[in-house]
Amino acid sequence: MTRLDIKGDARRIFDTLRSGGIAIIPNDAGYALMGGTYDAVHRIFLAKKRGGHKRNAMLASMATQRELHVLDQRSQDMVEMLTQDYNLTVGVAAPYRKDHPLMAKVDPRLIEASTGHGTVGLLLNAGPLFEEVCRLCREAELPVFGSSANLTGTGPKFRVEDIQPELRAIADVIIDYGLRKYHHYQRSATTLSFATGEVECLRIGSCYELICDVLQRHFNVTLAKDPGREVNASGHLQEFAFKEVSYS
Amino acid sequence: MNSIDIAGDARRTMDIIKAGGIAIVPNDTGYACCGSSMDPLQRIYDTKQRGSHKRNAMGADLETQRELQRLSPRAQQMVEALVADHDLPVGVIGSFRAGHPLLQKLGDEGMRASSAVGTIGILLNAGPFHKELSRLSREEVVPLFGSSANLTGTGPRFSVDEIPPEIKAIADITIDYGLRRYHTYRRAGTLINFDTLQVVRIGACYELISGVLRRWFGLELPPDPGFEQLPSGHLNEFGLKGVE
Repeated sequence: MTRLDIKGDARRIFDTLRSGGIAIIPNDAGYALMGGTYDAVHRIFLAKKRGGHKRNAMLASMATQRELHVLDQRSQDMVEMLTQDYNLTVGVAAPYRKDHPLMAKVDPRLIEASTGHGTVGLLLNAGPLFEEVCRLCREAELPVFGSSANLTGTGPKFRVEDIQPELRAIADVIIDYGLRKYHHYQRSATTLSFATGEVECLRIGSCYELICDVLQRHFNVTLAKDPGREVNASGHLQEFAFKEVSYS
Repeated sequence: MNSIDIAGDARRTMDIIKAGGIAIVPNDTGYACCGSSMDPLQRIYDTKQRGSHKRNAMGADLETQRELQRLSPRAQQMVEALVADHDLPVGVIGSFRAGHPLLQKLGDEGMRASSAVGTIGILLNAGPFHKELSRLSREEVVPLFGSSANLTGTGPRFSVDEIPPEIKAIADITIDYGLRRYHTYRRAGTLINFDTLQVVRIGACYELISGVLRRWFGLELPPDPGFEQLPSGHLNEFGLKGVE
């Protein structure tokens, strides 16, 4: 086999998630561990040895983001421009519609573990396979949550062979597409927050300088300066902003 | 709504190129100067002070590349995998169909400046603007040829501010989309000759491209000696010196 079967792989991931399994999937910003049920996400949390202050991100297509996030026009324009015009991968945390069909069916414990200050973080535009998985999940109204395929605090993984064995062991499907596009940033995806009505950076990650350039030129917004990986390896600017969640 | 008008910008660019003008366009691999006939290409060439061993590259999408180049089935699969599956930009050098309408339009003189030893180089998958301009080029049969928006040998330019004034001065239109995606590589797009499976220039995404070719096709590309050792990434810079 020399060619990827993106549609077939997306279908296998989707089937796994829908039946309560765990998938390791190749996003442009690194490999991610994803689950579609409380139980699956909880098992990921335990295996990663995650702190309770961390939140899961949800996978979303732009069609879902537009419905789910409650943003003013200018903020939505920023998200559209970054993902649609400049084709950048970005995590966006923003207030959300609690009555949206995707959220309404989520286990309350999973809501608690995936939201903070009334916001939910969505990973957007993370590559062709990601888009196809998001499309299938959207059509089936299956909410999918997850985070980097790593032991907590050990940095994102850009190759399957770099993912710790205990994490590979809990995955029911692993899609290996080789080295991920944004490996040279050595950080996860950049995450922006629109919680306060103004955009701010929660985590400096891949493509951050490109995201800063777009927001500066088109919206006259200046994001925090990147102190560099030597000073802030994870890129987190507000690491402990959320309260502890026990998953109990 | 605050947005960029990629379709509109590509339309304006195409109209200018069609009329014999020069455009500076924002590829993911850096800003490029392009035109569609010998006169604008010669002006670009002279302004850049290029050596005669350098060739123009073509900008196109995968649909055009499939029609215009004649690669072996395995080499074509490599190109398809890199572009369609892994979404990487790559410059594909290979033999071509001289009778293709886009090359017919370019004319004999333009072809001499844009081909060598029976091959032509095509930059594929260099971002949303490149995609749209390539679509117009294919549909309206307007060839797109050019090279980095720089003075020769000085490295690619990833923002319009960095483009030398004399290059900006010859452009009839400049599409400024800010900092270009692959600026972190500090080199232009990777160029591979898919007839011989030899790397001509190590550039953007080289480690990703070599990873795909090694893993899915069992092809080992040479290691990158690093930017400090080889800033241009050229492995055979003067291979075309004296070649007609």
